[in-house]
Amino acid sequence: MSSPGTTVPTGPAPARLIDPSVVGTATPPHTVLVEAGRLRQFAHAVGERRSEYVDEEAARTAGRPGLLVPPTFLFCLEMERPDPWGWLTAIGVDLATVLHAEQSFVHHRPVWVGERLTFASRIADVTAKAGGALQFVVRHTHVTDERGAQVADLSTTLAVVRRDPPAQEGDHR
Amino acid sequence: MTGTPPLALPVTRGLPPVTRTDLALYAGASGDHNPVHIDIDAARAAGLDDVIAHGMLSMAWAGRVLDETAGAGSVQTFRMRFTAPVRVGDRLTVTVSRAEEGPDVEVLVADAEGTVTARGTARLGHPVLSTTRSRST
Repeated sequence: MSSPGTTVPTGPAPARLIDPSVVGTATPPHTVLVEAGRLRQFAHAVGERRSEYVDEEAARTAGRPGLLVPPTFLFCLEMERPDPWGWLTAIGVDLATVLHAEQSFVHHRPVWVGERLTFASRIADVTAKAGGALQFVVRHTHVTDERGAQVADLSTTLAVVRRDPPAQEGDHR
Repeated sequence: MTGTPPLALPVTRGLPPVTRTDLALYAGASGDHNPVHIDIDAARAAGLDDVIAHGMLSMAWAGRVLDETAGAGSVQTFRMRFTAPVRVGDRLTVTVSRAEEGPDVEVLVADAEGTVTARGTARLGHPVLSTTRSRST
């Protein structure tokens, strides 16, 4: 805490290295019902208009169990929990310093509206580069259905960036 | 089953310019409320000039192009690396092409200047037709 009258530095906080012992830390699993309304919002947001994803009646008429879950939507369901970034703050990372570096999905089978999916995540890796100016956090999420059968595997790599202080006066490039 | 007919690749799809509405709708729909995507004050406080798009919004757009190319439900694996920020007003192009080796396709998202903003690979299978169970894999 700064005392009254002192100048608070405007630069970024010094690099704080993430403790490598957080690797293996699991987030308590959460279970999500795949809802048509949520899916419709997503479809609208990404410009998806095909009947498989937005028209329940057409889906049923075509003999499908319901609306199909489109690519990348499982990432959104993974965040369907209170404080989806809480695991990051818990390891001392400020969300404002985080960039999404990489994402992967392996789908073991199609997913339909009406299913109940369980997401179990854990921190899989932490690495630091350039003396901690850049750190990577990898998180793996295993998705299962109501019978415990595997549905999908997600991997998220976040880059934690320490931004350079603003250029000083007279510091021309 | 016989194999799928070969896809006509490459496929190149231009997207409408990125709008603030896109970012707001995606934030709401995805549940990713990180303010650097929707709040210019928060973006500036984080050292940016303006809000930047969610990487996952680009991936969702690219996923849609993949899924339209090979049919609904055909995307079996999909991996992307986000290589440059996407800003409001950017005109993105998604290109899907055959990988030089192996069964995967390559996916590229680039802006109008040709800067690659995301790149990755995907494996495309059969589209989902009328059954929940995929054919023997």
